[in-house]
Amino acid sequence: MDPAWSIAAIISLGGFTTGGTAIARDLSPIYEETFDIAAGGASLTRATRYGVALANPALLPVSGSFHRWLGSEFALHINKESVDYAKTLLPGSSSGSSDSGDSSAFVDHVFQSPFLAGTQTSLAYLNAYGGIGFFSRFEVDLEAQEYGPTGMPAVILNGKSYSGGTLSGAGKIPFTPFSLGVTGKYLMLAEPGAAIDVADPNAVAQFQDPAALSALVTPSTGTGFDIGALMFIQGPRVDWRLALKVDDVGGTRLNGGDAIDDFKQVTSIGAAMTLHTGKDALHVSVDKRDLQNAYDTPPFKATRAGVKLTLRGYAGIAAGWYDGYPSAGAELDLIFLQIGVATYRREITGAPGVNPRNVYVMNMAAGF
Amino acid sequence: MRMRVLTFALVFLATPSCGTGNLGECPATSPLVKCTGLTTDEKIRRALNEEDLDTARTLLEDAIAEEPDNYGRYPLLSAVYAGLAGFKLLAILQQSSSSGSSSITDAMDAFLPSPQGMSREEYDAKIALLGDAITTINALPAEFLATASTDKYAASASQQLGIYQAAQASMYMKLFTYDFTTGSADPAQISQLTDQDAARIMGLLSAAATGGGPMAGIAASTLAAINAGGGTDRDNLANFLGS
Repeated sequence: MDPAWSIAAIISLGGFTTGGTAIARDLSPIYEETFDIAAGGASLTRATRYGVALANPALLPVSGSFHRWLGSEFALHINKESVDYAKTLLPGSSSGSSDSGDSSAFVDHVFQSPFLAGTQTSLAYLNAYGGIGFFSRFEVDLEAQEYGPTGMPAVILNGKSYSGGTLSGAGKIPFTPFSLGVTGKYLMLAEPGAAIDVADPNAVAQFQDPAALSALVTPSTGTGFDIGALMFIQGPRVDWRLALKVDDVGGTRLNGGDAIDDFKQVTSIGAAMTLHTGKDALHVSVDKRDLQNAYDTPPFKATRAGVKLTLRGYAGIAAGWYDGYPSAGAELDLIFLQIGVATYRREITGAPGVNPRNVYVMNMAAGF
Repeated sequence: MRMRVLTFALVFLATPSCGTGNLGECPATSPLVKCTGLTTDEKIRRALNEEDLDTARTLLEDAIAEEPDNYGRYPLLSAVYAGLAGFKLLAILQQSSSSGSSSITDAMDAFLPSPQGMSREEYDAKIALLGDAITTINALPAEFLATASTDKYAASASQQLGIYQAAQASMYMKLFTYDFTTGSADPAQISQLTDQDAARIMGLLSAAATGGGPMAGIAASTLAAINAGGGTDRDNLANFLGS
């Protein structure tokens, strides 16, 4: 079988096998908001909408109002090179539309540039004392290497399929600047991955059976919880925040499906300063994740830093350092509709500068 | 204090528009983030991803010299040699499954470096690099390359060996149909073909035909076409190249 068509078949079937280890499990929350990504992912001291429940539930009581968020959200992640490729498929583009639907053209594209795409959706209600939410996140990263791991051309597939529900509770400790929060999680996860030597007929053949493929992406399930604490010192012009977060307290064991790694307990801290007027705020924050080095996390991935500037409560811009690379984005709040965009670079492995992806994120949320 | 924070924030807001390096790369560029040194294999992967084959070659040669028992690096170095020779492995794999070519020279023509615009010395250097690719894989233990080998690198090594043998045979044959002084095809060059040259080419084709891999079939049919002459290897090959 033509390797090009084999790859196309793999892509169209969404098929993977387990065992791929190219993508390092990152330390971002399993669900991360676009505006928080734009601010370098430093979300322990300030997070957006449903992201609060998973970034640090101790943030829930500090907004000053009872209601936090009710609504749903959709975000699309796609790498820059794939956006460029998609443009060539548009009618009227210089490449014409003749390539549309031509999987070999897509395969050619993949052999020139990696392909990353993902979606995430959520539906949640949060108030100052807790909340409930449901989320789903799917992401696939497809990279063809002319010189694969064995020297022959190879296609490296890695995916993340995370979905689940959360139940959060939070409260201030009376007469102190402290608040505490906890988020219980029910997770359904699959992290399919494969390195396929396209010259090896046996390796390619296993991806031609849809039944076998669907069995390979059966999710693992598990329950766990995160605990967060926040010290919030509010001033007339300047606020200070210190955060401590323990993700997956005691470890979150995953059962069934493809035996993917359990989530280890991770301890992180964050610090922030917010300059504000009555309507505008400038939030500068730094997070240090995985203090105990549970995942042997390199410093560039463990350090998140960023700035969020919110104007009149209706608009925000953000910038930061995510995975050691600059990130930026903006958000517009139209009362019942929030629209956000962000761009960031993500390092696929734990080695800086070896395999980055330039990712664009577009986000739309309906709620208040 | 507020001015400092504001300046810091503005710098943060501005920085995404400049620079593409990772803060974690060595030497360290930020006092906030310790740099993370790359392992040898990570350096090799980065060089390959950036298509910097010269660097990949140096790193792989050094790594193999330091750890000769790490057999997984041999097929990778072999592929790098072939890449430096101008050989497009990906293209040949696509061609082998879709082409109806009956001759190895026809099949390889599109994927081997053309002698046009190249001096004889440059062309010889590329042939030598393919020889290095073959030698690298032949340096692996026989049991590693055996069909029954379960090592994950074995299949790649065997396939590459057959491909590079066929490719080198094809490049050798080109030497006797091309005049480097005039820069054009010249069947008269066949007269320079010696028995030794013929033996080398036939040996490579024979190895490619029996070793398996995507070029085995076409190498075997080319051998059969050459041997149909019924004479010596040299005469048969000369007839084949002249036809």
